[in-house]
Amino acid sequence: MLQLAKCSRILGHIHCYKTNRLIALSSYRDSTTKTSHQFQNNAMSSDATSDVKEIVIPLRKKRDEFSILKALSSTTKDDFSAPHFKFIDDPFLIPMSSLDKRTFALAKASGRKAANYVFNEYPKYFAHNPAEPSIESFVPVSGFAFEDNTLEGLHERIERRNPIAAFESYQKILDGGLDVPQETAEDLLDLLCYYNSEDPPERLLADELFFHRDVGQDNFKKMRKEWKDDGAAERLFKLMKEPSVKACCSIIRGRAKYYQTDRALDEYYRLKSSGAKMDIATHNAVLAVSPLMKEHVESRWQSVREFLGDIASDGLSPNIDTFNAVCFTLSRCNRFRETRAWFMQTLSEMKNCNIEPSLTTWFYGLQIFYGADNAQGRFLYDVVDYLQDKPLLLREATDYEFFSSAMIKCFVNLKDLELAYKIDHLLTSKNTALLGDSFREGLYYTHFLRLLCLYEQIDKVMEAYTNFTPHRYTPTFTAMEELISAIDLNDGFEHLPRIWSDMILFQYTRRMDLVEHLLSIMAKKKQESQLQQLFTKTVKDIQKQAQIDAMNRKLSDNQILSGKMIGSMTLIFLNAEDFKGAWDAMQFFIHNKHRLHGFPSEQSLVRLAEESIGKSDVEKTLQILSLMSDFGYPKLDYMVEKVKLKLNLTDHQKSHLEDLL
Amino acid sequence: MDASLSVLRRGSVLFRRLQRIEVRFASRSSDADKPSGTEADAAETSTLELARPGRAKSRRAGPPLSRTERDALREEEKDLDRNVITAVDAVAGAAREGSKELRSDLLRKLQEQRVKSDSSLTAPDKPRVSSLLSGMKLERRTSFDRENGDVSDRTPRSSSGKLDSGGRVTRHEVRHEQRDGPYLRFFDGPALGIFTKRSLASDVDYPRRRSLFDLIEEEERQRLMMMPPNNAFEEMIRWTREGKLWKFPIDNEQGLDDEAKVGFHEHVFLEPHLDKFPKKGPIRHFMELVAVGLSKNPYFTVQEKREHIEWYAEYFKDKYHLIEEEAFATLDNEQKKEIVDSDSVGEGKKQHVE
Repeated sequence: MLQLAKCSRILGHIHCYKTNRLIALSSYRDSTTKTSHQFQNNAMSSDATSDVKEIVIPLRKKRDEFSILKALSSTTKDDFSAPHFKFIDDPFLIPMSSLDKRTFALAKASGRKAANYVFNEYPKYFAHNPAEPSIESFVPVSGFAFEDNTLEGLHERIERRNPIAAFESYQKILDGGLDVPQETAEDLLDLLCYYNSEDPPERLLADELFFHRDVGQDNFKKMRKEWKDDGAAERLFKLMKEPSVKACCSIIRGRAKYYQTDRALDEYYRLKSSGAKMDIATHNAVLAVSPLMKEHVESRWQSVREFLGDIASDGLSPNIDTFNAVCFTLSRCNRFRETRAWFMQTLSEMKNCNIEPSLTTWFYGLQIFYGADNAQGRFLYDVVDYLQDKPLLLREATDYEFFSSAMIKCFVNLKDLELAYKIDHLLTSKNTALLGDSFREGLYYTHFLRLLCLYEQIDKVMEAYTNFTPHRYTPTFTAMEELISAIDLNDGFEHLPRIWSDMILFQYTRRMDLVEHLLSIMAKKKQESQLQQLFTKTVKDIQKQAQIDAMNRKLSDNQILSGKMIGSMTLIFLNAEDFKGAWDAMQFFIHNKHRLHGFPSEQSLVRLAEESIGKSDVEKTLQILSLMSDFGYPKLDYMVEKVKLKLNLTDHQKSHLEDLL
Repeated sequence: MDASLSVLRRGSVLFRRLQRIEVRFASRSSDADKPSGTEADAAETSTLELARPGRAKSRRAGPPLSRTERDALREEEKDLDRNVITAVDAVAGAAREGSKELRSDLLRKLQEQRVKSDSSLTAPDKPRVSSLLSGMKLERRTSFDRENGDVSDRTPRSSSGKLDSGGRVTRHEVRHEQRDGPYLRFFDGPALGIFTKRSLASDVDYPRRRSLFDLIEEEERQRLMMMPPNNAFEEMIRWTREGKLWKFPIDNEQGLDDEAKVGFHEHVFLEPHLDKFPKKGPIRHFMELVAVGLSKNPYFTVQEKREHIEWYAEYFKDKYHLIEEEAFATLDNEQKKEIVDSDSVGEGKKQHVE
C-alpha cells in the first residue's frame, strides 16, 4: 500500500485511500470535493482550492563533456600559500625566485618539445596504438595523406594550415588542368592572407606563453608594413578572374593586418563604390588600421567616424571588435584634448548598440584618461565600481592588460591605497588568471607592493606581502628595496630577519646594495634582547651565505661583502653585547681590506673602540684606531684622548698612538 | 565597534593625507559677507589685471575676478549642470542691480538641494571627505610636487613609475576631475549618433559561409590566451579537448559512432547470411556453429562478420565435392538416399554417384 503510494506520487498521482484509485495531481482539486473526511481533515485539503502545487518543470540545462570538470574546477579557490599548479612537481624543486620559475617552466616546455620532436621524427616507433577508438594525437602523422596535385591534397593542406604547401598544391592542380572550386580557392586565399603567405610562426606551448617575453616573443609588434606585395596571396588574388566580394574582403583584411594600408584602402573604396556589401570584420580591419596612418588627430577621428558611418549605411551591426578598434585609435592620440570626450561618446554608443564593453575597452580607456604621468580623474574608480558585479570574460590577449594597467595607474597617477585594495579584491573575486603572463603579474604586484609600502602600516604591508610571496609573485629588486625602506620608515624591525630569509629564497643574496641596506637598518638602533639575538643570528647567516656564495661562484669575497656591511655587522654584534663577534667581523675586514669594497662607517669603529677600551684591550684598540686614521675619520682625535685617559700604554704604544695623529 | 574602528582608520589615513597636503584655512565667512557686489568689485579691480588668454567657455563676461572670488564661484558652481548655471545667469542678468548677489544666492540654494539629495544616497556612518574639507581651501599641489618642481604635461610615460612623478595638475585635468557622481555616467553622455535604433533594427544578416579567416583568427586568439592551467581540472579539460581523456560522464561507447548506428540484431541474428549454404549436412552444421560463434563475438564489426561468412562460402564452393564425398561415403544407404533426395545441391552429385 505504502509502496503504491510512493510510486504513484512519483508518477504524479495521488493514491486516494478511500476510493482506491490513482488520481492525477492536477485533478486533485476536483477530487477533493467528492472524497472523504480523511482528506478533508488533513491540513492539505482545507485550502484545497488555493494550495494545489503546480509542478513547474525547469528548463533543461545544456551539459556537455566539460560541465563536470568545470563545476569541479569552480570549487577550487586560490590558495596563496601553495605554489601555482604549473610549478607543482617535487616539493624540493618548487621554484621560489623568479629565475627559478622561469627555468622551471621553460624546462618543462622544452621537455615537451623534445618529446614532440622525437614523435615527429621517428613515427615508426609509435605505431602501436591499441586504443579503441584510437586517439588521434597519439598516432603519428608523417607527411600528407593525399598528393599535391589533388583537390583532397589541397584541402588537407588548408586544414593543416600550411599556406606555402597549399599554394604549391593549388598551382600544381591548375597546371594539371583541373579546376579548383571557388570555395576552396577562397579558403586558400583566406589562409594566405592571414599568414601573409608564409608558414605560421612557431606555436608556443602554454608554459612558454606565460614567459613569452623571456623567450623573445613580444606581443608588441611595430606597426610597420610587412605585407608581401608579391607574395602568394597577391598572386592568387590576381589569378582569380572575377574575385567575389568575399575574396576581396579577405585581401582587404590581409593587407590591413600587415599594414599595407594604401592598397587595403584602395580595394575598400573600390568595393564600396561598386556597391558591394562587405562583412563587419572587413570594416573592423580597415577601421583598426587606417586612422592610425594619419598624422593629425582630428583627421584620424574624422576617418573613424566615416568608417563607422559606412558600417551603419551598409545596414550592419557593429560588434565589440568595432568599438575596440575605435578605442585603440583613440588611445593612440591620448594627448589631445577631445579624446576623453570622444571615448565617453563611444561608450554611450556601445550602450545604444547593446554591446557590453570588454576589458580591452576599459584598458584603452585607462590609456586615454591616464596617459600622462600626472593625470588624475575619477575614471578608474568608476570602472572598478562598474566591474564589481559583471562577469569578466577573456576574449583576446589584450584583455590581460587591464588589471596590471589599472594597478600601474593607481600607483603612478592616483596613489590611492583604497582603490588598490578594491582592484585587488576585484581580481581575486573574479579570477586571478586575468593577470595574464608573468610580466603583467610582476608589474601588477610590484606596483601594489610599492603602493602599500608608501601608505600602509608596516604590519599590514607584511601581511599582504606574506599573501602574495613567494608563490604568487617574486618581488623585484626595486620592490625589495622599497619594502626595506618602508620597514625603516615605520620601525618595523621585527620583520627584518624574515626579509633576509626571503632574500635567500629569491636568490638576491648577492645583491650588495640590498644586503647593505638591510644591514644598515638592522644596525640602526639597539633592539630588545630577543630581537637582537635574532639579528646576530641573521648576521652570522649572512656571513655564512657570503662564504657559500663565494665558493659556489668561484668569486672572491670582495664581491660578496663590503666594508659598509661589515661596519653594520659590527654594530649589530655590539648591540647584542657580543664583542667577540664584532671583533671577528672587523678582523675579517682588516685582513681583506685591500680586496673589499668600501669601508666601515665611523660610528662602528668608534663603538668598537669604546668597547675594547672598556675591556682594556690595548692591542685591539690600537688596531681600530689605526684603521680610523687610515680612513681619516675626524673622531680620531677624540678617541686618542680617550685612550690616553682610560688605558695604560707602554711607551712603544704611546709613540704608535702619536704616529696615528 | 567595527564601524568606529573603520572611522578611526579612515581618520588616520585622512590625517596622514592631510599631512602631505598643505592646507590653508580660509573661512568662507569673508566671502559671504560682501556688503554689496558692486562695491567689492570696485575695491578689487583697483589692481591691474592683465588680459589672460583662456578658453572661450571659461572666460567670464563682466569684470575680471580676484582669486578669492573665482574660487568662491567655482565652489558655488561645483557639480551643477551647465544648463542650470546658464539659467541662473539669465535670471541674474535680468535683474538690474545686485545681480551678482542674486546669482550667488541662487547657486547656493541649488547647492543645498544637491547636497541634500546626495547625502541621502551616501551611507550615514562614513565621514564624508567633502563635508570635512568644505570649509577649507586646499592647495591643489602636493608637497611631493613642490619638492620636485614642475614637471610639464609632456613627460614621457615611464612604466617604472618613479615615486616623484607628480606635477602641477593642468587646467583641463582639473576640469575633468569635477565630474563627480556615480559610474552610470559612463553611458549617460551623448553618443556618437552614428548607429541609431533604426539602423540597428535593419541589420541584414548576410547568409554567408563563415570564412576561414574568421576561423583562423578565432583559433589564434584562443591560442594567444592559453596560459598554463590553474588546477588539475583545467588540465583535464584541455586534455579532453585534445581527445586524450575520456569524456565525462563516461560513456563506454565513446568514439564508436559507427557501431552505434548498427543494431544488435545484425550482430546476433546471422542466420540470413547462411542461405548460400546447403540447408542440411555437415557444412550447414558447421556454418551454424560459425554463426553462433560470430554472434557472440564482440570484436568484429558487422561487415567483418559478413565477410567472414562470405569467405567460407567461397572456400566451400571449391571444396564442396571433397567434403560431401567423404561424408557421403560414411553413411549407410538409407541415409544416403535421404540426403540425396532432399539436397538440391546434391542433385548433381546424385547423378554423378549414380
